[in-house]
Amino acid sequence: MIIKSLKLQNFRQFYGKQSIHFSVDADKKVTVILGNNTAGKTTIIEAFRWCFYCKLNLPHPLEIFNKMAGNLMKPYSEEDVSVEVCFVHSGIEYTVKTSQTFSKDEDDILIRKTKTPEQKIYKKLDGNLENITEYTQIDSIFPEDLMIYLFFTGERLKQLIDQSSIGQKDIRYAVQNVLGLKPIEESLSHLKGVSQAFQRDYHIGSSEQMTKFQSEKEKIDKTLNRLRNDEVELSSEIETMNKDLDDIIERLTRNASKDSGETLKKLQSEKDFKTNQLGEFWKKLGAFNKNYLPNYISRKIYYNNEARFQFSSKNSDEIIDKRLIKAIIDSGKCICGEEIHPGDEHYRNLISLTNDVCDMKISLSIQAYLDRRNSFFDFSQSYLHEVDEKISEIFNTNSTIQACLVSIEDIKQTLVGKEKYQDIKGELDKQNLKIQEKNEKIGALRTDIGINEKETQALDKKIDEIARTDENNKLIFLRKEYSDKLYQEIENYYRIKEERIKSDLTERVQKYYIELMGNNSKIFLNDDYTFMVKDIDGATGTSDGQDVITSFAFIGGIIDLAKTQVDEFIVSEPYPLIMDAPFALLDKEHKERSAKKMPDLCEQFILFSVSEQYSGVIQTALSNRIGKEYNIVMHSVSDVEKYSKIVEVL
Amino acid sequence: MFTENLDFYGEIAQDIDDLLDSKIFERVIDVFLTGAAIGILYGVRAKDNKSNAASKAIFTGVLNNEAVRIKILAIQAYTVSDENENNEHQREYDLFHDWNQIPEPSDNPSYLIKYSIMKEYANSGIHILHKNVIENSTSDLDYLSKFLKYLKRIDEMKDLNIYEKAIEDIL
Repeated sequence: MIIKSLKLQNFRQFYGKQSIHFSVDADKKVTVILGNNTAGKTTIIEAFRWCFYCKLNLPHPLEIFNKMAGNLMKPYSEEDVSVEVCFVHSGIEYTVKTSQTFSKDEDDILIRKTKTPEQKIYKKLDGNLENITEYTQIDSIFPEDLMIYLFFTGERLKQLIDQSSIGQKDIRYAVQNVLGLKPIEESLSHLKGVSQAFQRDYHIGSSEQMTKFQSEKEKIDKTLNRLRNDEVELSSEIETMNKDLDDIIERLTRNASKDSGETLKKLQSEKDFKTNQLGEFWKKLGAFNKNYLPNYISRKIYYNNEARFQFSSKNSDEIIDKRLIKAIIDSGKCICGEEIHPGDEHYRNLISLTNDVCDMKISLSIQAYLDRRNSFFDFSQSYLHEVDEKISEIFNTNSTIQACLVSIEDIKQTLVGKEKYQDIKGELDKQNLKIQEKNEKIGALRTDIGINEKETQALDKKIDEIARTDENNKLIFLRKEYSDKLYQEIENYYRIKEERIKSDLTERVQKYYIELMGNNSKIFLNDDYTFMVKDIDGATGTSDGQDVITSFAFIGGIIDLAKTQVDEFIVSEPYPLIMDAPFALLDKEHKERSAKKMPDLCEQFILFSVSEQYSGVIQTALSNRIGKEYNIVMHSVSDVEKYSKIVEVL
Repeated sequence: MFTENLDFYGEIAQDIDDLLDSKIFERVIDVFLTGAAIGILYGVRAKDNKSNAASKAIFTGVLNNEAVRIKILAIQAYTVSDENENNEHQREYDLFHDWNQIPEPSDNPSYLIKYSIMKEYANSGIHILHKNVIENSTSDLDYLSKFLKYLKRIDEMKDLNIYEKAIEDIL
């Protein structure tokens, strides 16, 4: 999708009809829109959202309508607020226009004539615009999920940088939607529903046991639903409490001396990061042991069997089938040409041989056994080494956390006595305690969920088992089993694909990060889609500027990866990248690098910025690539009546 | 296909709980499989003490997912057990004759015996594991140190008389 133009009419602070024509020139793909704070840069990004999805967060619905336009209206008159976006998608030009009518009543009060906005979609065919509203949804052309990854207001960029839960969801969304996992996830969700529907269809009248199990399952499912709702609520509570905690820590560091405040902040963040990492390492150890520990111990049993039965020399190639020896004896002639007579030496030798050899089926089993033993033996060499490494990681991480805690305590000791500091410290301790309590509660809740899930799975199996042998339910059971198998297959495919995407994504993000940062730090994507940066010397702390660069690298990596998905679910399509003041937190060197690199990530780059931040390195870095430039200028009619005007500069 | 849960009772169930709390194991079945291998290795077994109510279980779905690993250990358990009164040649046959087959206990009663013997080895093995990893430990990191030490001791058993070495672990 390439955006050609945006037309506004009485939208928020934009009075009357105003428009922006974005650059569609591939060589000069950058459109710059400058304006002071509150001039309306963010409003323009919001205008896209309202136009496409009729969504806008305002304290009052009347605020969408320009104040000055409202003041100028006479009683009984009508005016529209509208946003019109013209764009090209898959080579076809579309125009989407969303509008809402406002009127003045006899008392000169502004009211909404239409409660909801009206959206119209047009497609350009042979030079004419054809109305396709009736059979087209904007979501099918430009999904809302995709928009969140291309349109960045300052607030969203901050969420991504902070790695807040919203930021994490963004990355997860991007991976799932842009990179093609969403359709698979939806298939899985659909198949789960199908399987549950089949189970509901079982005729329960014919089996008392099934009736009993079904009713038990219903009860557990209800409990599970309740527990899951509680978990969501509690998670959100903890999220809010953590935000409050951040505020308290911020105040605490402000009240410490500048140096110790900075160090304290760094240590806290290092400690939090390492604590999360420690949890991951424990999980990895459990998962590793799940797959390999029993095999590692079992290989000793193989040694014992080998010593006991002395079959290691019985390679299957050398094993003679008993039936073959019997056939030789029966034929009376050996394969070497010697005659065989009952009782003679050859006969006795062959009979003795039959006592020592196995039949062919056993020889194949021995081969399978030996194959497994060999794979165990090969693996066992590395198991102990790997488990040793994993345990060392846990010990080392734990030592770092302990060292952080000691340093934090040392710094705090130096601050003891400072009155205000002590008050905030008390507040911090209380908040930490509250969070700890909530975390314990959510831990218990998750254990309960796990237990109930296992119980419901066990009941599912029991119900299925009854249905399998019941003539009335056999057919439904088979259908359900088919859908369950399909679910397993798709789930496996999903896991493999997600792993591959994560690894490809990390590789690309790494590439962009090095280009933007100009050093060899490494980026790691954690299992929960948070990311961390490790310096060349192994340190993990990052500055705000580095976090911005990391976010840019992620955006670049995701867009880049989406373009390589052509053979699967995503059809490669040019997309714009729209960003509001993205370079504000960067130093001069990185501003320049990023400003040069960001336009390369996409086919159209629309940059909103405050004039002071833009002039200088950013302007110079972009100078050869700017196709259009606008200023948003505030006009004051009176002290209270102000409106914004879009002025074309280039 | 397994149609019944596998239950654990009393002290063994408590041992499993402790081992899961140590975070070294993810699931009950991981403790069970490891315990069974250790029990077979040391040649020690213990019957279920059903005077206590079952307080730990492995659900049928999980058992079926791990059917192959369970089968292999069950065959090995039966091969070395006293129930198997066959001569060495026949024991060798027992060990190998259906290595490539997936057992169906409901159609194959002989496997029910093998699974029950394996469970007894697992009971003892879990207790040995508990003794060597959990007992006298005071923290998560203690568990880890002891676990690693125990793994290394098992590794060293290759060149030693296993039964002599094992006595130290059991007692």
